[in-house]
Amino acid sequence: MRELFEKLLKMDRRWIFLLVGIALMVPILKPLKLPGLKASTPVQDLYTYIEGLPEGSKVLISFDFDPASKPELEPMGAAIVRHCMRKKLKVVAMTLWVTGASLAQRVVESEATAAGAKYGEDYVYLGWKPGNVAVITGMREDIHVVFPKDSKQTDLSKIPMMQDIRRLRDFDLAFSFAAGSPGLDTWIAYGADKEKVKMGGGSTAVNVPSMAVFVQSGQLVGFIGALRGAAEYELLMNFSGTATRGMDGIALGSYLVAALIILANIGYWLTRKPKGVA
Amino acid sequence: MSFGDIAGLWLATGLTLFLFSFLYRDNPFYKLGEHLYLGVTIGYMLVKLVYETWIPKVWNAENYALVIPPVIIGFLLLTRFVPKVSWLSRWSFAFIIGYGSGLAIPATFTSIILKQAEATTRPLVTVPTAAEQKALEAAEKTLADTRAARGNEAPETRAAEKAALSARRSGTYSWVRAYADVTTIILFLGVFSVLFYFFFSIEHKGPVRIFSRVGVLFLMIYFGASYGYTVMGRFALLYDRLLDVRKASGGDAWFATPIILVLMIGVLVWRHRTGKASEEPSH
Amino acid sequence: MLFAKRQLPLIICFVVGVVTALQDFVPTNFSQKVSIWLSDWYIIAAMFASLLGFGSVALVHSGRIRRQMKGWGYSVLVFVGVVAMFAVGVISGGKEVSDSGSPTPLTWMYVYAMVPLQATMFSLLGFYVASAAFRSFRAKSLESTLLLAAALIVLIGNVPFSNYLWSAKMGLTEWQGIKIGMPDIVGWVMSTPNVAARRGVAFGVALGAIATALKIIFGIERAYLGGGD
Repeated sequence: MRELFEKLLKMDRRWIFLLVGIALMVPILKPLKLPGLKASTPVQDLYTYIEGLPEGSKVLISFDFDPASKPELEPMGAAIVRHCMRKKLKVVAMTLWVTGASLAQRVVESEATAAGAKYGEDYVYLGWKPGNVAVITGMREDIHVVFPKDSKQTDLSKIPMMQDIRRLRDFDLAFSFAAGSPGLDTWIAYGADKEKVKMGGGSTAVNVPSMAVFVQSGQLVGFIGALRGAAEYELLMNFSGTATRGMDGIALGSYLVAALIILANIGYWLTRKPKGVA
Repeated sequence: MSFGDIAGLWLATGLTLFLFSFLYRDNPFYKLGEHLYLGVTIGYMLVKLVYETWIPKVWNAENYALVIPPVIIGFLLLTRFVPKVSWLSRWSFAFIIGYGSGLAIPATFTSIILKQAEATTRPLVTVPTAAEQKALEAAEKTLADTRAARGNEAPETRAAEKAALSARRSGTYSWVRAYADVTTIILFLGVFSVLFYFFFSIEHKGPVRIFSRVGVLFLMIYFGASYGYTVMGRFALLYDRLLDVRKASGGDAWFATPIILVLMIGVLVWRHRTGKASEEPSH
Repeated sequence: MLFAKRQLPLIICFVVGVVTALQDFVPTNFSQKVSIWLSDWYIIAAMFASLLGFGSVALVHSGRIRRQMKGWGYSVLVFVGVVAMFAVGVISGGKEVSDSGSPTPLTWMYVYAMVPLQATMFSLLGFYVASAAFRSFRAKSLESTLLLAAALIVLIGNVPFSNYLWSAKMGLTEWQGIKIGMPDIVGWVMSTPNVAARRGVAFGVALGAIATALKIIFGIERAYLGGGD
């Protein structure tokens, strides 16, 4: 037994790579549709908040991520845009991450097309500007100066719905879907807290532990944590999107890693040399 | 699928598999993907800089007088590449750094220090307020009345029972209240012990040592949770890539995945046989 | 000359820093105008700052090509990537969707080259986080045991199926009015000990950031000036 574990602990890591690959590939080949998904409080809070907004409320959505985090953040971004359009809210989308500019545009356009929303009246995509905090600070004073044109190069002054959206505080709710900084915390510190704008958002799994402080403090009205959070939101919205389908893979993968940790520790305790012996 | 889409799928699948080949060992396919990645990213950023910043904000500016100063600041930054006059870039850096610092002070102070401190210092032990006690009495009375009027099984009675239960939890010192208080106390202790661990420059001995050790325990939970979330996050990315590779393996994508995979393996085996692969470090 | 090289940058930094910080406390019409100018200047300057980064990358790789260093061919690929993407961007007029409503070549390159490259690069870490756990997570002390326990709670507790077994099969949902479902347990760990530790760290970082910002504005911290006179 001891020798077996000694061998196991020393195995080539490429075997673990293979196991990870298999665990994630199985649900792709054959979806398991594991049950048990339930909305957590921060996700439910966000959903309830949007449900409570009257028709025509103005919402800002900043897609602060790049292709590296697309699988995690695109589904929640799409679910929120879908929810806003279903509730007939006015959506203004943008990004602080240059390499995410086309990504954000695609999400907004595809959801808008599906909802039959009209560009310039129901939604607008402003695109990207460099400067991170300067963009947010500028938007506090005048969005039309920071973004003189939208991403289609149309003057903002010629876009109907932008006539009564001039500054950050004109929004009833602001979102950031963030893969890091600049992101949710930047929006909170430099924008929302200053202008007393309600803020919601979501982040990649890696950032969930850091963003938890803003959920607990109430600086966020609600929060979507990673792919699981997105799947919860899809559940509340009554549709099964990429996040829901991805949960099986995450499930098998997480169980695999948990099993590996437990196995490695059993091995460690069995093969441990008594104290004093080098 | 159009020809453009199929060509695209081939490109995407090829690049994905090239990068995945690093799992076996470093090899030319991986290096190719890695360098192309750098190139296309910079190219894309340039496109966006030109079309979303330079043209709308500088070229087509309404008032050039307002745009000239920042353009000068920007050009001065580029003097970094000319050693003789590179000191000119200091003016620009002074502007950029001064602006960033000036913004950071009030923002950090309100959002991170004040708001976060406020959320930490809440009443540690809570007792039912007079209003909550009154609400409990009222709820109990409603329950008794409904029971008398409708009997035990009626839906109205069930609803009244539920209301009374939640009123009992807030109207007396219940388990729910105790749980909330313990949570507040743990949070408070945790924040202070972590600060203690980081900040106290006195020697960590006796009670100080114990308290700062408590801080370390909290940090460990934070690190462990972060690890758990990192695994989930990375797997989400991986799942998405594998999904794309799978999508490109069928006949509608002209079998991109299997064909590229076989070709890559062939080249890697050939390189291994001819000894060319030994130049790269293995795992 | 020395004034322009040494004192002037410190003065610029001081004035810009103080004006920016004070703007927050004196919200008059004039100060709002100044604020929007400053942010717009910063945005335009930031555009050039990116060029600074690209320039450094170009210098490194052109150097490799010029000296025909080992693997210089890969450096050529960097330029191929830049030129290809930029050319496609110019052809598309910088737009994602053409006026006729169809996706432009820029979108094609973005979707089929940039997205898979970036997403795959970061997804590779998925394999490494798994093998790292197996190789290095050992319950050797109270500290490492807590770390392991938190990791396992998050890993297992965040899988919906775990909650299904826990709540639907074992009936563990509530005790004395306290919710004890899987998401509630994970939620408690995240919103209590995790928040406590993270907040402690955040306070430290915030105080450090404010101190550094003050030092920069008052000219005590001058590392940004670089070396030389």
